[in-house]
Amino acid sequence: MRLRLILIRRCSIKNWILLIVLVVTPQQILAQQQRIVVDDAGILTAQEEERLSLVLRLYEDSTSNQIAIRTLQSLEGQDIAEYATELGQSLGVGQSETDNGVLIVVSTEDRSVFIAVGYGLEGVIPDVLAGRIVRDIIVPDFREGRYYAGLVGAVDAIMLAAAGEYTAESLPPRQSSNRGGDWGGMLLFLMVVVFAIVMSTRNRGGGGGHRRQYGNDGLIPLMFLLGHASGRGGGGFGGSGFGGGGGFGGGFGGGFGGGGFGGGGAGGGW
Amino acid sequence: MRNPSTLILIVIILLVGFAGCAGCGTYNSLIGQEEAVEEAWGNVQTAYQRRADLIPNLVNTVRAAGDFEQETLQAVTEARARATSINVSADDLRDPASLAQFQQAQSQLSGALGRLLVVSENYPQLQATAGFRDLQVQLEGTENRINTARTRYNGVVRSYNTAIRQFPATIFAGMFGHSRRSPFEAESGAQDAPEVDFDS
Repeated sequence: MRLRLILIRRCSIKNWILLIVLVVTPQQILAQQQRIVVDDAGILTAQEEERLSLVLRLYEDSTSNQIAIRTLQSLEGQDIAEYATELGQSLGVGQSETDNGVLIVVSTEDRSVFIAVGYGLEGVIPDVLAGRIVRDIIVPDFREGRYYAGLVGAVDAIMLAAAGEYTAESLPPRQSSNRGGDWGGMLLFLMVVVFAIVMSTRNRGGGGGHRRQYGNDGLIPLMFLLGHASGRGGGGFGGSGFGGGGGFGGGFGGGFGGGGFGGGGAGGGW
Repeated sequence: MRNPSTLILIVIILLVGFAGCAGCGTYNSLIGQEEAVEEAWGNVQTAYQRRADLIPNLVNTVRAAGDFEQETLQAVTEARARATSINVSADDLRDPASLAQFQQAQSQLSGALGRLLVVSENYPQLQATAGFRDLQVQLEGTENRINTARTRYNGVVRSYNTAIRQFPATIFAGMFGHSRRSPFEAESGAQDAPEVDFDS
C-alpha cells in the first residue's frame, strides 16, 4: 500500500490520465453490456433502439421479467443456441431468484435468430412457442428486412405469453441488488480510506512541485464523480479486482439481475 | 510456562489446531464442490430424460404419417430402450467406464434420431404437419439443454478434479475418500451432422 502510494505520488499527469482511462474504460464496456438492447449489427435506427429499450425497461419494472436483445454481424461459426444460452447466463438476464429472463439474439450474416428462454419462463414460453414466434412472427418480417417490426412483434408475443407469471415484487431493490450491495458498501469504505490517505499525503508533501499538485487536484473530484468506478480503480490499492463486475447492475440505470439459462428456447433462419 | 516442555506442548497444540482449521476449510470446500458435481450430473440426467420422454411421441407422430421407414423407427425405439436402461448415479461417476457406457448409449440414440430427422425430409407431408415441426423444435431444445448441462457438468468436474489434487487438499481428499470424477469426452464425429446416403 505504501509502495503504491509512493509510486502514485511520483506519477506525472500523463500517468494520471492513463490511470483514469484504465478506470473508466471497463465501466463503459460494462455499461454497454448492461444495456437491454445492444445493436452491434446496426439493423435498428437509434430511435428504434431507444424505443425498444424503453418498452423493455418499463416491462421489467412492472413484471420483473427481463427481455434483452442482442444483434451481431456474425457468430463466427458458433452455434447460435449455445451462444445465446451462454450469453444469457453470463449477462444474467432475468432476476436471480426467478430466472425470468429472455434473450433474443440476431446474427445478420448467419441470417439466424434465437430466442433463449431462462429457466423460470420455460413453463410459459416452451420451446414450441418460442419456435412459433420465430417462425411465424420474426422470420416473415426479417425476410423483408423489417427488423424492428419483427423484434417488436416477438417482444409482444413473449410479453403476452409471460403475462401474469411473475410480478414486480420479484424485483430486487435497485440500490442493493444482490452482490452489488455488499461490494458497494465495501467500495465506499475503500474509497473513503483511499481519499483520506491521498489527502494526508498531499498535505504532508507541502513543498511538492506544481505538476504533482495539479495532478492531484484534477483527480480527487473526478474520483468522486466516477462514483463506484473510481472505488474500483481505488480497489487496486486494496487488492479488490473487477471480479464482482456483474453485480453492479443497479448502478447503471438497470442492468441484469442474474437469471439463469439452461438451453431453453428455439431459433430459426430467415 | 517457563518449562520448555510446556512451550513445546503449546506449539504442538497450536500447530495441530492450525492444521485442523485448514483441514476443516478444505474439507468443507471439497464437500461443496462435490455437491456441485452431483447437482450438475442431475441436470445432465434430466436433460437426457427429457429427450427420452419425447421420443415415443415423436415415433407415434411419424408412424401416423403413413408408410415411414420401419427400420429407422425401430432403430430409434431400440436405441431409446438401451439408453434409458443405463442408469449412472453420481457415485458411479468415479468409474470412467460407467460414464463411457452411458455416453455411448446416448450417442447411439442421438445417431438414430439424427437419421430419423434426415429421412423425414423425404416425407414432405410429414414435414408440413405442425405437430411434427413442434416435435422437431422440442427435440432441438432438448439437444440444447443436453449440451448446456454437459458443458456445465464438465466445468464443475474440472474444478473439482483440480481441487482434490492441489496441496494441501490432496491429503484430506485421500483421507475422506474424494476421488476423481469423469468428465464427458468429446465424441468422435459428434461435430458432424449425421449423414445419410440416399443412393444406397
